[in-house]
Amino acid sequence: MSSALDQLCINTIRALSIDGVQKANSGHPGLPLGAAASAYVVWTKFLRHNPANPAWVNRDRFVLSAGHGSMLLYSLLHLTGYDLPMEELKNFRQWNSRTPGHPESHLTPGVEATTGPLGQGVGNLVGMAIAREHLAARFNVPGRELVGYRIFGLCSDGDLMEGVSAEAASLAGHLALGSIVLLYDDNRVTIDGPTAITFTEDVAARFTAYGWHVLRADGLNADEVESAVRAGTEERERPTLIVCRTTIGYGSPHKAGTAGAHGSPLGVEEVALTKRALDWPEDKSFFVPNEAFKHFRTALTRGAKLETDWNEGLRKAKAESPDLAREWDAFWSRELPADWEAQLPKWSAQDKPVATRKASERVINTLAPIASTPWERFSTALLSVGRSYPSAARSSPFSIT
Amino acid sequence: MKPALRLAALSHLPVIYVFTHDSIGLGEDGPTHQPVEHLWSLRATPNIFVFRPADANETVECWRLALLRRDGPSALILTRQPLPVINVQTYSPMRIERGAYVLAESSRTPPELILLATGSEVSLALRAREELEREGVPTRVVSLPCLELFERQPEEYRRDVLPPKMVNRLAIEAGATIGWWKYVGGKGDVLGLDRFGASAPGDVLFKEFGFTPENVVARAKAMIARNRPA
Repeated sequence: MSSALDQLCINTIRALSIDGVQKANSGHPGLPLGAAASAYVVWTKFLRHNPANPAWVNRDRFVLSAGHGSMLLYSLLHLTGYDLPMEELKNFRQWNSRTPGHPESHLTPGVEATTGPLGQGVGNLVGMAIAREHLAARFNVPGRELVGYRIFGLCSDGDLMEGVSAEAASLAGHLALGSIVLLYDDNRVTIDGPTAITFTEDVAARFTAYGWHVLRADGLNADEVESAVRAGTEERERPTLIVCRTTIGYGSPHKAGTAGAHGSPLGVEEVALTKRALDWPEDKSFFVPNEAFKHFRTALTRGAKLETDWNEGLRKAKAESPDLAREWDAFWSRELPADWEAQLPKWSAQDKPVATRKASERVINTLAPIASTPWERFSTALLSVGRSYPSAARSSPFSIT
Repeated sequence: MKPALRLAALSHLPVIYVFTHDSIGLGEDGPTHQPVEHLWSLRATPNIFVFRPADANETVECWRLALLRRDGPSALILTRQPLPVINVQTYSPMRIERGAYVLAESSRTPPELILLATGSEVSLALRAREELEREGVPTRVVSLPCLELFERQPEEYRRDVLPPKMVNRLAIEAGATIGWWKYVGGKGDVLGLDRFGASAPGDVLFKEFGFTPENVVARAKAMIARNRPA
């Protein structure tokens, strides 16, 4: 059962998010208010990460496809102990801050994907799940799971209106990417009004048709979300979509449930009223109660232990298998195989004219067989035109017709 | 896919995009399949290396550079139609890593004319050069497989390839002309395609849209005449 402390923590996220948006006088308060509970559940009860090391390779990924809810993500990053000081939250959307309007992965520690153009985060997390399966197939053996991370995501109505999310979701279902748990913030409001004006399809039925495992939860009820996320993580054969019914701008007396909460600051007065409704001190901005802070920061000790334990497993595995050690290190060093340049094809002026895309195909098919592990990270980019890879084990059989 | 591509560029991700439907060379598939505007649209996107190789060997070298890139995406713009393999014995060795290079120097220096070309139009420029040289116009051909790499070269190198004093410059690319004016200057000319293509065999389209040695020669000579002091 969720506790009073859980509720305090959830409201901490809400208050920080609306304060950030209000101070910037720009941004999207509605999603953080509505999705705080479900994001909180994922981040504190499931996400295996180490805020002290955002580059830990076996961390769970969290992709906020609904990038406009960036203050939700920045609040969580700050609270759980990533290198994102409160000062950055106060500088939301300002010049030279690391808290831009929409999340940028190269800028902010802990941001896994640059998102904002709706639907793109869903595409990204499907790509991450494909990469994860490649890595798992390469490095995991029974009794030795070096690659065990999951991919969590949060998307909005707008994300699921976009074609790219449908394409990516279709592929995820086809490839049975069981590491995905995607929460859908079903708040039924878009920037222009209720989804009823344009978006009345049955999303759950659509994802079921893609081959997804689809669950429903009251997104404002932490316990319900927790049960659903748990079921999602236990499902290994299919990607999971959790339709989380929420209220946009939850807590705002005048804007909750309306498009007015989507993409503009609540206003000073409404911020105060919202805090009052959430039983939060009205006179305080960027306020984090000690108890909540301590609870969030347990992510650091938990994360350090997770990573240390995993490192120990890796050390043992490498000691037992020098081959694995070599392959693992070669892969993560991102070096290209020795001697690869010498193998590249050459043509002479006496050769028949050749289409440059045929020449490209020759390059790909020359390099694919000699590719050592680092090449697998390129496997989906190394499209072979008109036919699949020489070795099916190295790539999903993509082709262009 | 543009949003995904620009997010990759923004996020410094080393993705390699292979574009296999290049310009009007697509021919019969028609204007729906002939991306006349994409080259400059890609080049306008920050942090993407846009490679448009002129033949099989340039393609290999572009692939090599794309695979070595770590801080952003690359786009390879490739033809469906066969292109002649450029004779590196006759011409200069490739310098793809420079982004642009003098592929064929004029018979006399300084050249009177510079032809700038990418991809399938490089061989066309070489054929036009032969005729121009025969007609007494010393002509340099510059291949520009990657403008982003060229822009990163020291100014000295860029001025060697495109000396500011040489004003007679004709750029040839079977796509929008918009960005080429920067490279040909106020007195130069661009042979491109500022309209959608059409459905017909590829060689017919190249001919109808003026991508022939004869037309290149005529455009170049007209430009030289315009620029001659009165």
